Amino acid sequence: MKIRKNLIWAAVFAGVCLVCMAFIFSTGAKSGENSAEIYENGKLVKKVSAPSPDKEYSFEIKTENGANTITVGEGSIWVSSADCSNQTCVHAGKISHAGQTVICAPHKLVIKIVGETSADAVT
Amino acid sequence: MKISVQKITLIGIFTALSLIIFMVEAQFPVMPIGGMKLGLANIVTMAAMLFIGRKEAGLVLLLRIVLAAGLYGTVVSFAFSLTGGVLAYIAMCIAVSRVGENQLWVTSVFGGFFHNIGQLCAAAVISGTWAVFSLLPYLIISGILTGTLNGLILQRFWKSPLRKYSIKR
Repeated sequence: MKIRKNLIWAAVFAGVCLVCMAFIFSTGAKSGENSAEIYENGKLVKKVSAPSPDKEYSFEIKTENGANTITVGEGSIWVSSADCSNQTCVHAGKISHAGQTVICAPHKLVIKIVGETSADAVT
Repeated sequence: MKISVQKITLIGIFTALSLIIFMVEAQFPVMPIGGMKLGLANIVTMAAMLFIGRKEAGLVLLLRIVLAAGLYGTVVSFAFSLTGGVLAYIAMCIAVSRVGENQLWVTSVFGGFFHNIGQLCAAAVISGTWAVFSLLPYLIISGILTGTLNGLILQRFWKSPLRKYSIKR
């Protein structure tokens, strides 16, 4: 009886995990003509379109709380350096699929990939 | 309210333990998506819930969050810990008395799950955009996995001889 209860709970949680994975694969798997939007404090400050694959360039976004250096290349975008306290945005790495985000909470900065795919269903 | 010496001692020990675990864990690099981590300090919060009681566990949790923020955190990280921690605490308080001795790990899964939901809400408020909720499926999975791990560790701990130090009736 004890073992069966554990199994039921495990099955429930495994089911939730599976639903989430299915959701990730159904929304995130498409990468096409995407562009990235950069928000500061909820306001759109910059829009970056998909670059040609061989070019790579960086720019700096200055927020009122600090600066983030953002690099675009290889069809993805990432925060290459930041002077924030936790560096979570730098560790977050490269994003390339519609719906993916990098968040720098201390600077209230959000980088979001948008595409004509199902990203709007998520946000 | 009268508070026994035993209680004060246990609260102190648990707070110190969770603070150490929390700080050691903070030294490791975070995972690629949304700053996931194991949340091992939550084991201590749950242990406090079992060894002392729910109210005291809340005290341990609050002390840990305030001390960790005071020692090396920022206002933002404090807000994150607080929303995640409080939501997880409420969820675990509800769950802990409803599951059996052998399903203690389930409590931890609920804790991990709601902790991540709370942090996501904090992220949404701080960044001012709902875009962060695209991380939700990743965080649900990580919450369940880390919650299971922590819960199994806790269950092992609760069944060890240390249990005789419990003062909860």
